[in-house]
Amino acid sequence: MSAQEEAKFELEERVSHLEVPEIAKDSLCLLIPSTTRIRWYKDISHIGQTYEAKFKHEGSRYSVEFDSLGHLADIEVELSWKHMQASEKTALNRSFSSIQGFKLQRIQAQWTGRVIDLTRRDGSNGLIPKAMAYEVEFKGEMNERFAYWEGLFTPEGELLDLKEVLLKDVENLNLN
Amino acid sequence: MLILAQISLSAQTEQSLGLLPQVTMSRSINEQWSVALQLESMQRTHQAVEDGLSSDYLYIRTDITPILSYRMSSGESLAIGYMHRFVNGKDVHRTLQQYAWVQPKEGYRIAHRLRSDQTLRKGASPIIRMRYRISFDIPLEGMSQNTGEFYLVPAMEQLIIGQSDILDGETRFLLRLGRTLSVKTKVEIGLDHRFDGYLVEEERHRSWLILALFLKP
Repeated sequence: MSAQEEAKFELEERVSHLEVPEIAKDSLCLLIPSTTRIRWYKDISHIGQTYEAKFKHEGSRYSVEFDSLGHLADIEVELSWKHMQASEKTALNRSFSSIQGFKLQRIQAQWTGRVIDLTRRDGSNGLIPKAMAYEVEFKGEMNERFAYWEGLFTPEGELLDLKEVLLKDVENLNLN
Repeated sequence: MLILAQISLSAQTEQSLGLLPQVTMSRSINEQWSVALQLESMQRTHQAVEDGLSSDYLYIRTDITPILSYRMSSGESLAIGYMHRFVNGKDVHRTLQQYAWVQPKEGYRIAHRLRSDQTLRKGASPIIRMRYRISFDIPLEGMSQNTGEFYLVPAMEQLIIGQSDILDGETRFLLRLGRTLSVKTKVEIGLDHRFDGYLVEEERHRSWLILALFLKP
């Protein structure tokens, strides 16, 4: 969970898979088959309750979020910039180069929508390969502030949303 | 006697072991300001003697430190604090100022802390210390810390200590294993090894077992 999300959530607790709605587990099996060692969390905030599955699959870290009834909210996959395809990088790079002092911290591919729309159509199950957006944590100057930011970019490089990352939970590093 | 006159009871000891329990409670006032209160107690349990370690319990001190912090930007903060130390029936006062910044990296964080403090005790010259600490915050399960998961914090701190016209140094190596029990609670256990007196030829090695609790009531 990113620092921004930490600030957003009031409570996050690890839960057993038995507590998770069946529809969420079925959707996960369909989207990312043969996944093992899934850790389930329940996030409770002022806007409600969600379930989150975290796991590693084919070398990448996944985070899949569902609403309280088990309907898919989004899928996030940690990416390595080095290993991303050139076509994916080109459009993003165009946006990044316009940000003063840009330094990439973290990039995640994001999928949102209905399970049926995100499942491969060739009968093999699994997630469609083309990401719908990229969540990018970076350092740089935005809105006349040099800080850490979390931006949501389309695959074409358009910035959809921007939030400053508040690095929280640092008392054990700064105070003692 | 230059360094840490307030722990004069152990000042002649070249090597010692002990306990350093800590409780830190913090609370945000708003997005920028936060307050914290830290309690810490130092107790020696063993001392080095010619043929090894000898069990030798000594209560050394208890500190209470309120700190006011101001967040400048994402990872940067300024803080000021006052420490009241109860030691050997006498009171010690310390003021502190710090600038800290945290760098998020892929799968871990680096925390830097620049701190200065001034220690005052009746009948002794003030002690001025300049300190820099670098810490690494490494989740042991996944890319970030989550509830119920463990993390590791190796750190190193260098202190320059001045009292009257004497200058000394202290180097600290820390290794702490932590667990996030909830978004409001963390516990840590670890070792804090302190090496000082090397500029005044009165070397000391002290190792403290840290038991730390972080609360956000």
